[in-house]
Amino acid sequence: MSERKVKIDVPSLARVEGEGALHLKIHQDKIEHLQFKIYEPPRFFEKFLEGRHYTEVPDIVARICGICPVAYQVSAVNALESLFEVEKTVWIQQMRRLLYLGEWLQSHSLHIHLLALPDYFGYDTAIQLAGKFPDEVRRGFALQDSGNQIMRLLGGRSVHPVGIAVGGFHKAPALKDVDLLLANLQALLPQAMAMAEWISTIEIPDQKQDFCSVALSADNYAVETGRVISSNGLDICEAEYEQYFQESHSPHSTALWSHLQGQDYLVGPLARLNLCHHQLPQGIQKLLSKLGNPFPSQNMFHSMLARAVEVCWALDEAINILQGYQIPDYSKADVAVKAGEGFGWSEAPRGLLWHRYRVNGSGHIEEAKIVPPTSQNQARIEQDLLWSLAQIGLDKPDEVLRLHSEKVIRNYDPCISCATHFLKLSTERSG
Amino acid sequence: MKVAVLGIGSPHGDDQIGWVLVDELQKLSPHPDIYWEKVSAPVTSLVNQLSAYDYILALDAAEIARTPGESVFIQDAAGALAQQESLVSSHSMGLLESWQLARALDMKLPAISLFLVQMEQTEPMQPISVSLEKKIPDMLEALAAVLAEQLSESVSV
Repeated sequence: MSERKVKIDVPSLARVEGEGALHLKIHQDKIEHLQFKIYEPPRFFEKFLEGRHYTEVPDIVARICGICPVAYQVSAVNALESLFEVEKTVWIQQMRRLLYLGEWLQSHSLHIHLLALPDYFGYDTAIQLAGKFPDEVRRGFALQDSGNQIMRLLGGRSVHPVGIAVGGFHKAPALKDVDLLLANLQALLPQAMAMAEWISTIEIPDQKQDFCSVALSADNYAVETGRVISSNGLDICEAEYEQYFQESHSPHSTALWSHLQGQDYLVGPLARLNLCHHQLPQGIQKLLSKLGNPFPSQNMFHSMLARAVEVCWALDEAINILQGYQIPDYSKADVAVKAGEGFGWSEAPRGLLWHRYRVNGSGHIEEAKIVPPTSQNQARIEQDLLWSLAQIGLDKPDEVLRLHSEKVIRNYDPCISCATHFLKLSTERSG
Repeated sequence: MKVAVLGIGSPHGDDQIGWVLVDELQKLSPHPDIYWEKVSAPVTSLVNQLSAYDYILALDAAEIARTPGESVFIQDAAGALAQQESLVSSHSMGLLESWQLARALDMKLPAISLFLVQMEQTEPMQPISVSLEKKIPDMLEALAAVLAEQLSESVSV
């Protein structure tokens, strides 16, 4: 009889919002115990929001995440605008979408080039990868910068942007700035396509597993709003979310876990492409065909390609929006405060982000609830680890198991620091 | 000479010191050739920005084994940044990681100085500690002198 205990710890880093750990116990070549833990300090923001005026909410929630502040802002204003019955103009809706596309571009480009790719080439860090593939990494940073340019145009700055207000935007960009950005994005589109083609050539494990995909669906490829659908036939609006999705505490984690009617589920780029790939425009469909279009896919390792395809689409969609840009009569609709409860969601780079606010008659927040995508993927990640480790073989050396565990976790682009190459492994063996 | 002053921080306790110093320093030294920026980790846009400057002065809170409010100035920090171990994730993407990536990509790098302030606490959404606040005038005096020297060097060149 043999017994192996593998413990993987993720230490806390300065200015990193989150802690993670993996505990794995193997007994007689079977996983006896596997716990994936996440700690999410940003959830404290729900308490910080209580008592704040609704006008402060977009700037406060932007601080929850340095990578996806727009997602938090848009889900929040969607909830408040829904409650206040704000009539948003087409211009406001399009600019929200454009700003959001900027966030997708920067987040996806960074994840592909800094986090995911080193795994597939056997490197520990993106710095090593940059030494081997400098042109590809430079291209990745150029694509990332295109997202930052969009965020600066509409958000005033790329980190924790401040352009969004409940009702619209604080100001409309000038035509000359729009023209400059448009030219930059048009020049980058062929590079994005080349990046996606390169990603499609990288070998990935052929591992198909059973999981449920959950994403927003709208008349177009959903980003800033829509209805939630799933591969199991779910189709609901924002206010129905808590009837189907349950959050619960787990004894081994301070983070809340989300389940869809008792089951784990997937949110994020792969779930979006699985459910909505048919809505991509002709140019991107052509690209997908060229890449052998694997979507819908039950192989979680297609997540990196899904991000690459979404980079191309986001750039293409941003160009389309900017080509029709006109200075609006006003950039912010009137807001009439009303007491009650508002619900909002959107597709953060990592997946569905749901908000609920209870507001009093003076416009102050009485209660807030935020369900981020990483919480929603937490149970799925644990299931994936259980399945994937069994697939590669539990008799493999600890180092192989650790590296594969990291690769599986990083695949979800979790909003915690375990998405880097620094998991520590300690092994106890007996028998 | 293109000069950038980067305040690195967050809204949490003493981690705000870099931002506060940028705001106050900008009032003291409103030089048209200085680019002022308050950034928050992750500083994902920094790799692209580094090559745009000739000199960067970075201000940050840190654990430097001093009493709270004490500061350390590293005139030439390029060597130290090149040698430190970095992890590189989009969520821990700071000056160090950006610097090392830019080096790996053979990008043109500026001269860089670091001004690090020993922090006392980084409690969520709390103000700066009194121990740091008291030292801000001294910090500003030292930093204004650094900038004046940099700018005078560029004029003499």
